[in-house]
Amino acid sequence: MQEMIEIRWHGRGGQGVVTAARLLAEAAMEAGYFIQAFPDYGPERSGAPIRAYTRLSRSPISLHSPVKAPDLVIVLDETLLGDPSLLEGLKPDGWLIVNSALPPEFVRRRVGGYKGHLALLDATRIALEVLRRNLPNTPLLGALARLTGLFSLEDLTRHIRHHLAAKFGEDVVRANLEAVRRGFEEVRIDPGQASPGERPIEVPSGGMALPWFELPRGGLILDAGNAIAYRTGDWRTFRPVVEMEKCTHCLYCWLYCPDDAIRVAGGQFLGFDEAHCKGCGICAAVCPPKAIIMVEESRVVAAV
Amino acid sequence: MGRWMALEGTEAVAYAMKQIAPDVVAAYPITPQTGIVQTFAQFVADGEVSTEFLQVESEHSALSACVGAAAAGARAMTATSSQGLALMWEILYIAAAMRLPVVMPVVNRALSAPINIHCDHSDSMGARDAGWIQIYSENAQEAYDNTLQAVRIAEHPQVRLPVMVMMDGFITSHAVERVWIEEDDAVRAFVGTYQPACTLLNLERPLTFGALDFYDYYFEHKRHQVEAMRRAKEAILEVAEDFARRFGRRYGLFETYRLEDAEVALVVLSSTAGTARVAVDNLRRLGWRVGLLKPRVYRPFPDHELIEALRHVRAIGVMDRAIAFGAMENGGPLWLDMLAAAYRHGLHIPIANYVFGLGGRDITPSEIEGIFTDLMQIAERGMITRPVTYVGVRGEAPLPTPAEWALWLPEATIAGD
Ligand code: SF4
Ligand code: SF4
Repeated sequence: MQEMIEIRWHGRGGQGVVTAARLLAEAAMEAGYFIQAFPDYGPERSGAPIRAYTRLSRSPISLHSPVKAPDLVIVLDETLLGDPSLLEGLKPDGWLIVNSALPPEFVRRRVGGYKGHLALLDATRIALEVLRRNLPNTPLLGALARLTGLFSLEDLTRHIRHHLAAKFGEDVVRANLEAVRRGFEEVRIDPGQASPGERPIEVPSGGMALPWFELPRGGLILDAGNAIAYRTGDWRTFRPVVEMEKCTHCLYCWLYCPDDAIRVAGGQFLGFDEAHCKGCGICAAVCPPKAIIMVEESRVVAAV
Repeated sequence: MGRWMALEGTEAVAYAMKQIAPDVVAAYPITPQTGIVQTFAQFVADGEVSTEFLQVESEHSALSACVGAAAAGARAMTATSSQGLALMWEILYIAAAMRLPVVMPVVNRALSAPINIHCDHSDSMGARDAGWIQIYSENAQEAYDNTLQAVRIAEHPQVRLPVMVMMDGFITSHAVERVWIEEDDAVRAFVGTYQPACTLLNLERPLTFGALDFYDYYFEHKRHQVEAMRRAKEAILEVAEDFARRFGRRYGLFETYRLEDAEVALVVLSSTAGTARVAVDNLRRLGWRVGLLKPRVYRPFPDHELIEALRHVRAIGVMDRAIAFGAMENGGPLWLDMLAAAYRHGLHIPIANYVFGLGGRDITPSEIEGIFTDLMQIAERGMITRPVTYVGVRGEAPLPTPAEWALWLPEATIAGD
């Protein structure tokens, strides 16, 4: 392998993105690699897009700067496929790996006509079936063993035994091994075309443009109330759905919604502001007649 | 035997604290230090360490509690970042002047305003003259090793001063790396049992602590602090020597990389030194004679040793992750110290300052290669035209006119209204 492999993870707050980056590093450490796993911290809110990174190397890693040109981009959440920064810096012969049951053509279309190496694994389904919990990281490790050859299935087996045996029973260990094995076997590889010689995929980095002397002094924000411009609705992993017949228009939901995403007119509940509702579920929790339920966003998206 | 573990920087330090098993830890969580307090509190809750863990209501109280505990004869530790360190301010000086060997890991983070949680060195650099020993760590391993050594340094009979051990916020604190954790017994044998010089709880020998002290004695007591700081250098090396003998990892006052035959050298603290090493290797492959010096101990400042290590180069670049506002050229504190040291020890070569990475702004090997390019030109010309460069700040030239600068809300940004 090359001297160092760099990986970027994409997911949403609460999906275990940071844990995934760390798990891979730990597994690789046991296979003899020097490792680094670190998150990109911003406002950490449930459902917000989050990135994390893993570096693996045969020699000590002294580099402490962010990963700019990853060899692998791993996407834990399908709803992020439309994010234009997904492919940022991905090496021409790098791999895009997505936790998805969708057909490859569909994924390629959603990622702006991506032509390079692609691998798909329905890690969520495997996790739900085998581990009975939504922990897609474990089957993904199996897929990565297959794709990269960084470590073998035996290495992973040893690692999982080592880490889980002490804390959990043999059942848990066996389920995890099964999840890894299925990830290894079920990963769907769609090679596409590498484009050697082509420069890494670049994305215009908007925003950071003003020279220092043109910024308002003291960190003032001039367009107060600009929260409307932030589509926090994109962070949603669950969305509220109302049963109108049950609604008594008490407006508890309106009172409690932290994002002012309940639409009201003339004292009547009208629905949700989809652009800003981030799916926190507070409205569903406080609604006295239980008129609101939370539905997984990916199911809604898949149905569209 | 010890073992390799995959740990975040904060977890590595929490492990060190568990192995040191201080009598008292009083701390208040603050990003990005939280992992230290959280992990250590877990060790306490799980009964893995018998430390008296005090959850206080602020950092001011955290350090105050440590001062009280240390005066009572306990081995006391805390940890903080940024605003937390700022809130400890008045107690920093008290811990140092009362000569209490408190050890405090500091996870470097920018100071408000504007609010920022990411790495720069403004917090600990602001505390550089408070009378604490300051040690900076490049990665999780160094943070672990330095925390262990800090206890011995602080309690050294020639020293008895509080010690801060720094690591870079997020870059080191939240990155998982391979860390060699030593055996508990070996660590215990290394740090030893604390022998307080005198304690508040010794009923055989009642003492008054923290008394009033005017122009008749205050100055002499400050002279004590000077002497302790002066002797700390040797104690730090002595402790490092014992650490190397036991654990095999060697530390000094600073570390050099490919410096022996270098024409230009870069001086930089903490994690950026690791990134700079990659830049040095890249340029060495092109035949450039560039080298690196990473100070480990910043207080006491090893002025003479640093200058001797750099005497053969033709130009020096000093990278600062903080600004000493209003100081000469509005440069960084490390640069100011380096200039003073060079003057004091008769080294008359160009020494340029590169302020970088404020508020967590990335610094990459290619930017550091740019700095080396600048330094090569400076070495060539034998003089500096721009003493301080703010690396990566947008719009460095041309400078605004007084009229433009007086605009509190510049036109460009309100054009949309
Ligand atoms: S889930 Fe409900 S409470 Fe939460 S943001 Fe959406 S509408 Fe508001
Ligand atoms: S809290 Fe429930 S019942 Fe009340 S207005 Fe909202 S949806 Fe209707």
